[in-house]
Amino acid sequence: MVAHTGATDSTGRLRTFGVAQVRPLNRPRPLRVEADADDHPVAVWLSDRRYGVEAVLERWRIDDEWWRQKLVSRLYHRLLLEDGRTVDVYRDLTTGRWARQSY
Amino acid sequence: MPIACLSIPRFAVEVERRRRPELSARLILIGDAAVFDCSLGAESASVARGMRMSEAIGLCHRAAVLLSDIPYYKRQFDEVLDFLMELSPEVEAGGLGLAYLSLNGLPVAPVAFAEGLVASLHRRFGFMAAAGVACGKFPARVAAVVVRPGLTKVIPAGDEASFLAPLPVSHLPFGDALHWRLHLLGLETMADIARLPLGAFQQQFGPEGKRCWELASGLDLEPLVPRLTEETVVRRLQLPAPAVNIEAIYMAVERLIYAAYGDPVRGGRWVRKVIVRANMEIGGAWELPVAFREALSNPRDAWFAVKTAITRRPPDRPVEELAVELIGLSSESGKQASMFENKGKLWRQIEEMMRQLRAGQSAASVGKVVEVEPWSRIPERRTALADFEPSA
Repeated sequence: MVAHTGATDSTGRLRTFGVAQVRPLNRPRPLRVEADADDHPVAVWLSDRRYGVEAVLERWRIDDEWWRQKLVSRLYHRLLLEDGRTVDVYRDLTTGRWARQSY
Repeated sequence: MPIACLSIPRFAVEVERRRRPELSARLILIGDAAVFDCSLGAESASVARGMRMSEAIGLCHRAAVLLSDIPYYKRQFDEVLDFLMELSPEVEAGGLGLAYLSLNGLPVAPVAFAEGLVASLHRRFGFMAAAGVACGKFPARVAAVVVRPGLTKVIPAGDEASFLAPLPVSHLPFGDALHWRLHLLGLETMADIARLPLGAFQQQFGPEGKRCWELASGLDLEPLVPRLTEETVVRRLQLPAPAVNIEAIYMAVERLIYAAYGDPVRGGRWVRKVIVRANMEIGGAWELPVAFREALSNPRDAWFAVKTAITRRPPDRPVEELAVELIGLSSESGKQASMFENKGKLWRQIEEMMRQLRAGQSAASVGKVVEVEPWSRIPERRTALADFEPSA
């Protein structure tokens, strides 16, 4: 952690000389999903509204960073919703939670 | 003006046979996903260039399948062209295995020239070529293609139309769409086209039709465009073992660049472009041209540009041999102005705007998208948003 230098700029305001922040983009967002007995999504909730799944266009799995304490194991689905939209969702195979994330 | 055309059929196959004598008696398919070239035996099994490789293997499953090494074929053909320039001062390359030579002003009869051409090429390289001589590139090419390798055909001036008349329209150098339309109209031979009035034919086929009609009638006034020779410096390095590690490749290329810059042929001249080539372990080649923004006289500057380019597009397979070629040797340096002068102005405006924003707000409100691990399978690892820091 870099300490605050207390320096002021030309306007007399305090200015922070710190390490530039870097925030990951396209982070997964938790999603409410209704799945059938085989764990295939049948409906998703977007903006408090339920959308039925017309078709599962594609399904793929990634397993990565298995050497870390928090490994990554996800089963992605590309879904065609009833309003014609396509969304990418995944089920975290370590926690069982669903999330939405563009792939 | 008489023009000789030299045709070396299945050039890539012939080059591979010279390189790998153990394949001399085998059927050969060259290509990756599609067939780039194939031996005569494979052709007789209905394999054609451009066909899917899987289909071609199905047609002749005993063939040796080789990855195409186009940079190598080009180098070999350049050697052939260099040799042809000893026979005629004006030589034009018409694609791999095809060359046109001007006979203008040469004190030799066309028949003797064509026969000498075929014989000397065979003696020098071992290629069995065919040659055609005619007034015009198109009739000369057709003459070279219709005769068997090792033979020649000379079309006397004025006989081009009668020579072409019985030949199929597939010799015409046009796309599939035009050939399909010719077929639909029942125009199967050159004579079928030549006997139609030019106006009507042009009305049906447009500007391309005029050229098509002229070629079918034996009229080709397209000039021969002589090849320009350029002095280059080449350095090669055979690696002791196939290099997988990028650091080993960097080291070898750096060494080659310094060696090429130290070559007396360069003679202190500046360099505009470098081509890095590699031969891969399991066949195939990799080529990376790096054009400098301005000519460079210092190998250190050249290495910096080349290293950046290699980092962006490294070889994707283990490398056995590396070569560096310096091109565009010039006596002076020339600076190329930026095409996007206004971009700098735009950046200055953005930076100024950011300073204004920062003066009014404590937290940065503008970020910059940066690539972190663009290759990652985990989407959130690929890009990140960093605070935009205007330069001080």
